[in-house]
Amino acid sequence: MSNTHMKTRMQRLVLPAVIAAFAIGAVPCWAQVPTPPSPPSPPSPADAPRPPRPPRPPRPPRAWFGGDHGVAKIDTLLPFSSNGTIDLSLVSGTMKVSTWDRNQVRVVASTTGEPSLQLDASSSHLTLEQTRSGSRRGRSDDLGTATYDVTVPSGTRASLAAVSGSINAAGLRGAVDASNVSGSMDLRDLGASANVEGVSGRITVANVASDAHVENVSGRVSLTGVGGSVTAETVSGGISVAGVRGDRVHVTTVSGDIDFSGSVTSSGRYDFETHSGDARLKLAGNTEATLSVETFSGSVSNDFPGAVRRKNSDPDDDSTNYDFIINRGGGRVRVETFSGSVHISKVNQ
Amino acid sequence: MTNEEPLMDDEQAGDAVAKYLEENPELLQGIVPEHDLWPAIESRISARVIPMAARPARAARRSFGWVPLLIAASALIAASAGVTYVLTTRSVVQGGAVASNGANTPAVVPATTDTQAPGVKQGEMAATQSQVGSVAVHAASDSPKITQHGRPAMQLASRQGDNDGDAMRQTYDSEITTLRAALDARRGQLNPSTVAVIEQNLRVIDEAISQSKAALAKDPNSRLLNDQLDRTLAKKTGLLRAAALLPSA
Repeated sequence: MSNTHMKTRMQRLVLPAVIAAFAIGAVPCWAQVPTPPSPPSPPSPADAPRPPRPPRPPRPPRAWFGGDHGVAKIDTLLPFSSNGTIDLSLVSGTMKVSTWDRNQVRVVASTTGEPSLQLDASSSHLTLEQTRSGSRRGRSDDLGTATYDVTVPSGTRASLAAVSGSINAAGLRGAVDASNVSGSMDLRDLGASANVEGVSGRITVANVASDAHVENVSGRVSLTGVGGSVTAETVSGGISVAGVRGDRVHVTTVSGDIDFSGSVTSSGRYDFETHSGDARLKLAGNTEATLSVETFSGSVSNDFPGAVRRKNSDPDDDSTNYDFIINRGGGRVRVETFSGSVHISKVNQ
Repeated sequence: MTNEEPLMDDEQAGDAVAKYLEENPELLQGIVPEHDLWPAIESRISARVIPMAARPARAARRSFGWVPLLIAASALIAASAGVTYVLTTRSVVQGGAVASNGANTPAVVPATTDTQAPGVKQGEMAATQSQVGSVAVHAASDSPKITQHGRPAMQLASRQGDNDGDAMRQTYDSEITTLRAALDARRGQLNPSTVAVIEQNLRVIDEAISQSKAALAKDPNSRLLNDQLDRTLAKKTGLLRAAALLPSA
């Protein structure tokens, strides 16, 4: 094959490639050539101009303290809804919530440890917490002890949580949820329901307009003046319930004692269960109730005047089952223990 | 500025105003407060009212170590699934028979205290079993929900017969084992004193369980003893579940 022939073949191959390259490169140039405007076509429904979007509602204003790692102290006053929600949590320290008649929330909070407080508030929701992200090792030791003193409109709902601290709240008309691991809790004068959970601290709930639900492990539980139903549970902590106006009471414990004091409604149901703790029922003088008391090895005694006692024991059953009819009967009261004693008496008025 | 008097500083201005008011006492008569307003004013101005501004982006907000809780919650949900399944299927299939007093089924409710037809709400039972999301403690979240007749739903389910009762207690045992493992896995994250409280109360429960079992061995048909045992097992399950979900120390 001669060189001339090779050159000719190369030209035949290269020349179309060069032309093609120019052609491709020229496409954008063609694309830039202005084209005459096409006549306007009748607007189709899809092409119809969309109505202007309604303006977005303005983002609710927020207050934010603490940045990423928290601050050591907060002292502020913020506008707040009369029925907003607060969400307070701390690792160690004390928390106090009180109310006033202003549509504002006052927050005074501090910590003895590293700056760790974060507050996030809108006009209807406030969150105050101790964050661990600011501590060097993410340990609660670095967080120190926090103190919260928060004043809110009385209609506020509250969620209060602590790991090791005390919680005090009074005067709230919204529902209250509170939890604590090793500290005490004292909730008073609540206008709605209370839901309280703890481990080893004492729990006191007083003057609740609606239902009260309390769970604890070893700490004592005290419930007084509850307008709705009551549920109280512990493992070893004693439970005292007094002045319940609702018609459902359920108290259960393993080794704690149970103390109930107050009246029994004619349509009410009252259940008390304990394994080894004692159950002491102090009933109002005008009580009309039927009591069913059953125990495996505990003793049963009754000092209520006029109560008629009927032993109702199955001969094949080792347990002891008594019925007590007080006045004409009515409200149903059930007490069960394994080895705990049961004592029924008239409340001292 | 040429025809104007030189500007006074604050002190001079204050003196001038005071002098002017002394010379014109009638000006003060309309605005003198009837009582000292300062305490109220002080309380209002001592706290700074913050104009609400846009909130900056929040970075990596962590509280109470949610990752371990999430892991524990997953374990607990898995552990609870068995019990939930057993209880719900049993109560649904046997439905109204839950409350019936069959030949082999001890009475659920004393006749002297229950005249209404008792019933078990499946939703209550399932919900009770699945309450694992709370930070705080459900020491006995399984047992004490008030049913129509005042009895925990789980107890009623256990009264289906000896076999069912045994099966449910086996399920309890299985769940307790799983929850115990979850608690042990989190032990290092919990406050030692809290763990001590939990352990102490678990021992209280175990003592109650052993007492109930010993009594049941002599009187296996006792409704009271069966109720006591079921209730205590439920309480142990609830305590373990709550302990596994406790916030980190």
